[in-house]
Amino acid sequence: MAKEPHPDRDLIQGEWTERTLVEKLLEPVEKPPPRPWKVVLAVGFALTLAWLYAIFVTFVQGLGTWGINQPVAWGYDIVHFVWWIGIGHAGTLISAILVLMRQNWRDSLNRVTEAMTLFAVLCAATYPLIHMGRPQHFYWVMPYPTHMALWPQYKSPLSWDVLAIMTYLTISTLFLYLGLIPDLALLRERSTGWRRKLYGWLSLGWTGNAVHWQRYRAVYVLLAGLATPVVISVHSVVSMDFAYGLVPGWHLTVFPPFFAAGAIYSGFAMALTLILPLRKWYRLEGVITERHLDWMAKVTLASGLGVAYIYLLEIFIAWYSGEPAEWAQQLWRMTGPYAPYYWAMMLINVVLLQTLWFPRFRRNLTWLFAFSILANVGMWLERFVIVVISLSHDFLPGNFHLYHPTWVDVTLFLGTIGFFLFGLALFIRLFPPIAVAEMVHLFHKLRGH
Amino acid sequence: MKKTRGFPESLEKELYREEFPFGPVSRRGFLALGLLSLAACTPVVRRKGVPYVRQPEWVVEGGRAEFVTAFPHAGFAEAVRVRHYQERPLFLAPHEGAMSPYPLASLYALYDPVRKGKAPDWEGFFAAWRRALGEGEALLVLPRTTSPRLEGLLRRALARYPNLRVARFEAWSLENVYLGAELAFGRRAWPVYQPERAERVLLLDVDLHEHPAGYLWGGALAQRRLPPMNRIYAVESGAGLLGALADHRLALKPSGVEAFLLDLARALGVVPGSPASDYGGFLPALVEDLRRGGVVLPGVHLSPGAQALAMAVNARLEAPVAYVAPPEAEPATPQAFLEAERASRLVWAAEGPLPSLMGKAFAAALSLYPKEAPYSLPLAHPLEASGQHRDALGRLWPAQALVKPLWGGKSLEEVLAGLLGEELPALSPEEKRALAEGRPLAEAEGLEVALRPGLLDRLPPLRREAPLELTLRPDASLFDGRYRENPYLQELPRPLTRLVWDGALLAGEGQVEAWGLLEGVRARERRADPRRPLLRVRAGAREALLPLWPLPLLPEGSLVAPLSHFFHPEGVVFPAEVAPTGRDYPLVSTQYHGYLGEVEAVHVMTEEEALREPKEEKRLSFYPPWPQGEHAWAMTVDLSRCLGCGLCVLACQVENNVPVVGKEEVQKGREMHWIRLDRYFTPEGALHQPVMCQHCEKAPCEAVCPVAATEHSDEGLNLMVYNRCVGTKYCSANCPYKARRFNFFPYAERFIGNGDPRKAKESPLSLLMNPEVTVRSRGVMEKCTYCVQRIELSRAEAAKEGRRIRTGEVRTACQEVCPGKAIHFGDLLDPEDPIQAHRQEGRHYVLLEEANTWPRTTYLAHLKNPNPRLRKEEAHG
Repeated sequence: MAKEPHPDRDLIQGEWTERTLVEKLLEPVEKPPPRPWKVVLAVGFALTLAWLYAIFVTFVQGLGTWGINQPVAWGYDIVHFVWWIGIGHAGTLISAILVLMRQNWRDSLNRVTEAMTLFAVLCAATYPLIHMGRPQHFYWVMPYPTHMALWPQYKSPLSWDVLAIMTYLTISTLFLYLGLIPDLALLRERSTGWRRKLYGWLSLGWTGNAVHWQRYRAVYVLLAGLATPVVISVHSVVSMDFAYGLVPGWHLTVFPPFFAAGAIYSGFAMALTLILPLRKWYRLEGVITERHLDWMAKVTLASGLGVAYIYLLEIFIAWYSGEPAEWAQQLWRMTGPYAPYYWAMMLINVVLLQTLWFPRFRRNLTWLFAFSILANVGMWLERFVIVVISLSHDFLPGNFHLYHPTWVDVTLFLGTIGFFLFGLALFIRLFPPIAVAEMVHLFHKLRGH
Repeated sequence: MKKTRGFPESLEKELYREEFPFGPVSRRGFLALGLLSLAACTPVVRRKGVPYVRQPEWVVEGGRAEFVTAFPHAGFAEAVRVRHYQERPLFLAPHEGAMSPYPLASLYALYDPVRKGKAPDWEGFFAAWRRALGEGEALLVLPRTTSPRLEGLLRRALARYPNLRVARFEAWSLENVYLGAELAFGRRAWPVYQPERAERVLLLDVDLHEHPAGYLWGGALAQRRLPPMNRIYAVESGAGLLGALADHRLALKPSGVEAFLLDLARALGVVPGSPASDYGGFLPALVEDLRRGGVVLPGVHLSPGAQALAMAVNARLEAPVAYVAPPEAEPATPQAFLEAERASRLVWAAEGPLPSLMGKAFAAALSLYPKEAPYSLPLAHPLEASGQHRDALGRLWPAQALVKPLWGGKSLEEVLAGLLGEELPALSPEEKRALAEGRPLAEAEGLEVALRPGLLDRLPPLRREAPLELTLRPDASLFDGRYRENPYLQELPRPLTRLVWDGALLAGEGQVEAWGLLEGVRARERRADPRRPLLRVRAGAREALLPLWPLPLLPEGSLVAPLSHFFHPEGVVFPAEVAPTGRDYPLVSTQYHGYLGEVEAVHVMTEEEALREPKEEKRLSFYPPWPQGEHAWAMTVDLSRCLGCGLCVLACQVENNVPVVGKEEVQKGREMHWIRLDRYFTPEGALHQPVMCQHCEKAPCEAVCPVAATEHSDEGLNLMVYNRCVGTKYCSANCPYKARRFNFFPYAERFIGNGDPRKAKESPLSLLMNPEVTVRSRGVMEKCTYCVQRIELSRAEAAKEGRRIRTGEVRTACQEVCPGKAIHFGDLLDPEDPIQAHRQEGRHYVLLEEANTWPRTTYLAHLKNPNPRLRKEEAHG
C-alpha cells in the first residue's frame, strides 16, 4: 500500500541517509570547531572571568558597590534575574508542551533550547544569591530542620521563588540529561580516550534495546507532563514578587500571565538569537528549516501580543483605578527621566512586534535575527521599567530617588551573558546541539518507515 | 514498652552508639575527623578585663546615671541632662525647654579620634607665652564668653601682664543688639523675649539657630500652634524654619526688611511719618493684629538702627520682653579677626576661621581641633571641663566636668589659670547644689529701661538697597564653621535645602532664572545629577567660590551664604556681586522632589477644621489580629508643632548607633538616619514631616521577608532581628514609607574607625556607641525600633519595683529632644496616656491610609491660623 507523503516531510530537507544525517548532526562534536565557535568561547570565557571578579568585589566590599539605594532596593540584580529566568522558558516549553502536543518541529530545536534553559537558569539563580546582604547565610531561605525550629517565612513570595526556581532547575536538568542519554551512548560508541570514558559514564549503560527505549519514552512523556506546569508556574511565581508588593506599578493581579507571556516571548527570541547563527555556522539548514524558524516567529508573535496587550492594560488600570500614586507612576514612566526606557520598550514590544504578522518579515532571516535581539532588549527594558522605575517613584515624594548602576552592576550582567555563551559553546562541543536520536527517529517517521 | 520488638537493639544503639553516619571509622580516621572539626571551630576570643578589686564609689557595672550641666554653644549655656553609661556620656537631653543640636552632636567630638595627639606640653606653652608677654604686646583672642569666673581670671591676668591685650572674636556677633539698646534706651542691654505669652508674633529675619534663644523660641512658639493658636507673621530675607512656621510670610531683601520695620514703626506711631507702602495690604493687617498682644522678634544681624526700632515697637506694643545686662562683658565681633591678623604675638583661642599665623613672633592656636601653629594645643571639650555660662535668658549656670579630659585638653579658664600659675578652684558648694537641684546658679539681672524720645533723630542710617544683597548667616549645622569637624552635623540635612556636607549660595528661583541658570539646574535635578554651577561671590574686599542652590522661598535680589563657608571680618550683610566661573561643584541633598503634587502626605488645616470629628480609619484584613500583650505602643507626631529642625534625626542617630555614611553615599541615596525629615513646598509654605518606621500592625515588610527577620511583637512593635537578616531588601522595597535603611557597606565599622573599618576596634569612637543597642553589620536592614532598649529598661525597672510601666515613663530619644514637643510616645492600652486624646483629635490622620497598613505611628495635621483680612495669594508673596 502506497503511503501518503508525511505532511511534515519538509522538516528535514535535502538528500540524507541515516548515516549521513548522523554524521552531519555529530559534526559540532566530532569535527574541528568553526572559527566563530572559538571567538564565542573566548569572549564568553573572558566575560566569565570579569563576572567572577565582579562577584569577588561584591563579596569583599559589599552591596554598596552596586547602584542600589534606599527607595530602589532592587536594581540590575533583580532586572537580570527576571530576564534570565524568562529566557529559560522557551526550552521548557519546547521540550515539554510541544512533546505532549506531538509537534514534530520541536525535534531539531529541543536540545539547544534545553541547554539554553539550563544555562539561563544558572545565570538567573546567581543573582538572588549575590544580591543578599549576607550571602553566607543564603541557605536560611531554604526549608531545612534546625535546632531552633526556624523555617522560612512562607508568606513571602521570595520563599516561593526559591522552591519554584529549584524545581525549575531540577526538571530542566533532568529533561536535558534524559534526552541526552541515547546520544551519549552513540557518542560512546564513536569516540576513544577520555571522551569514551566520559560518555560511557554518562550514558548509564544505554544499549538501545527495546526495553530501554520503551522505558525511555515513558519517562520522557512523564517528565514532560511534570514540566508543563513549570512553564507557567515559575514565571508566575516570580511575578508575585512584584504583584504581592504594594509599590505602584507592581501591585497588579494581571502579573502572572503577563510574566508568563513575557517569559515565552523572550525565551523564543533568545532561542532565535542562538539558533540562527548556529544554523549558519554549522550549515544546519537541512534540519533547521525556514519552516522551523517560521513557527518560532509565530510563537514569538503570539506571546509578544500577550505582553503588548498588558502594557496597554496597565495604562488603563492606572487611570481607571483612580489611585493617585498609580497614575503618578504611569506618568513618571511616560514622562519622567526614565521615559526613553519606557518608550523604547513600547516601540519594540508593541510596534516592531507587529512585523511578525507578515511572512515577508518572518522569512527574512536578517530581520528575524535583528528582531530576536531587539525583543530581548525590549524585555530587558520591561524588567527595568517594572523593577527600577516603579521603585524610584512610589508613594511619598520625599523619598523619591533615581538609580544609577555602577560598573559592577554592568559587569555582572555582561558576565552572565559571557558565562551563558561560554557554557553553551562548551556544551555543543561536548554534546550534540541537535538531538540525534530524535532526528533519526523523525527521519524514519517522515519517510514512512 | 520493653516488649516492643527490637527495643534492646535500639537501646543498645542509643546508649553505646558505635556507628558513625559514614560507617565504621578507624582510629586514624577518627583523629582526622576530630582535627577537621577543630579547624571549623571559631577561635575563642579572649578579652582583657580585670574585675575591680575595690568597687569605686558610684561606679556600677552596667549602671546608668544622669547629670545636669550647662553646655556652652557660642558662649551661651544650654542646660542639659547628660546620660552616663559606665562613666561615658552617651546622650544629652534638654533640661528645660529646648536645646540646639550642637550639644548633642558634640558627643562625637568628645570621642573623636582626630583629637588624639601627642600629650600637650602645657607648661612649655605657658612659659613661652609668659616669655612673649615679657617681650612685648601679645594679643589673646577669646571667643564669646559669658563666664564671670573667666572674666575674674582675665582681670587678674591683665593686671599681672601689662602687655596682655584681649580681643573677642565671634563671626556671628550680637553687638548690633547692644548698640540698638543703647540707641533706644541709652544703655546696652540684652532683650529676653517671652514669645509664648504673645498672641501675635512678627519674626523679623530670624531663625532657630541664628539667635541664642532661637530654639527656646521655637519650642515656645510651637506650644502655641494648637488651638487657641497664636498667629505668626514672618518678614524674611532668607528662608528659615521659624519663617516656615508662619501663617503669613513676606519675603524682602535685607534692606527691605529694615525698611519694612521702619514702615511698621511709622504705622504704629512709634516714629513720626507714614508708611511708604502698605505691602499689598500686609502692613495694615499686621499692624491691626499686632495691637492684640503682639511681639516683634528681630534677628541679631539687623543694623543697630533696626534693632532700636524693633525695641521701640515692642515697647509700644507692651510686648512680653524684659531687658537684662548684656551676657558678655565685652562684645565679641568679627572685626577682632583683623586685629588678630595684625598682631605680632597672638594666642588664638576662638572658634571658626583661623587668621594667618605667618611671620608672627609668637603664635598659638587653642581649639578643640588645634590647627597648624607653632603652639597648637587642645582645648577641653565642654563635657571635660567645669565652668560657668549664662544662657540666652541671662541666667548663670554652672557646668560640671563629666569625664576627665581624654586628650589632655584645658578649658579657657584653666588656660588663664595656667598663665597665672594658679590652680583652678573646684566647683563651689553653691554650684554643686544648683547642679544637684537642676537650677541656675543665679537669675538674670533685670534692667529697668525706658525708651528715650526722639529716636528717629538719633537713628543711624538703615541698610541701603543694592541690586544684590548678601547675608552671611550661620549654617544650621556647622554654625560659623566651628562644627565643621563633626560628621553628625555635617550629615544632618540643612533645613529647607536638605543639603548635607556642604554650604551653598542660596538664591530665590526668580533670581536664578534671571541669571539664566534655573533651567540647567532643574534639568540636572531631574537626572539626579548633583553638579551645580560654582559662582564667584564678591562682598566688599572678599570673595568666595560657592555652588548655587535655588530655594523657592527667597525673594529676588537676596542671597544667603553660610558663615561656615564665607567669613567676612567686616560684618554679615553686604551688597554683593556674583560672577559665573564656568565650573561645577557637586551638592548633595537628601531630597530632590520638593513638591507634594496630588499626594496627601501632610495635611494642613485651619483651627475650625481641626475641631471637627476625626475620620474613622478604615481597616480591612484577611489576617487575624496579633495577640495583644501588656502594652500597645504607639506614637503621634504633631506636624503643627514640628519645626523641621532635625533634632529628632540627630537624637535618634546618637541613641541608636546610627552611622554617618559620607557625602558620596548620601548622594547615592543611602543615608542611614532612621528618621527622614521630608520637606515639601506648598502654597501654605514649607512643610515638614518626620517619617520613620510606622510600626504597622499589618506591616508589608513582615509579610515579604523570606527568613522571618522582621517580626511583630505582641506590644505592637515591628521588630528587626539583625541576626536573622540575610539582606534581600524586599522589606525595604515593599515599605510604602521607605522607612528602612540598609547597610550597603560596613557603615558602622567605617564610622567608628573614622573611615577605616579595620581601625574600628581600637577607635575611641567605639565608646560613643550605646551599649544597649546592637551595632549593625554589613548587609543587614535596620530601622526605627521605637527605642525598644528604653522600653525594655523601663520594663526591667518596673518589674524590679513590682509595678506596671508608668504613663509617660518610656520616652523615645526623638521625643526627648523635640523642641516643639511634637512627638509623643505612649501606650494605647493606658487610659491615662495623652495619646488617646491625640488619636481622637479631628486632625489625627494616618499616613498613606490607602495602603491599609494600620500604622501605630500617626500624624496630627499641620495647623495654620491665617488672618482673615489677608487673602491667600497675598499672604505668600
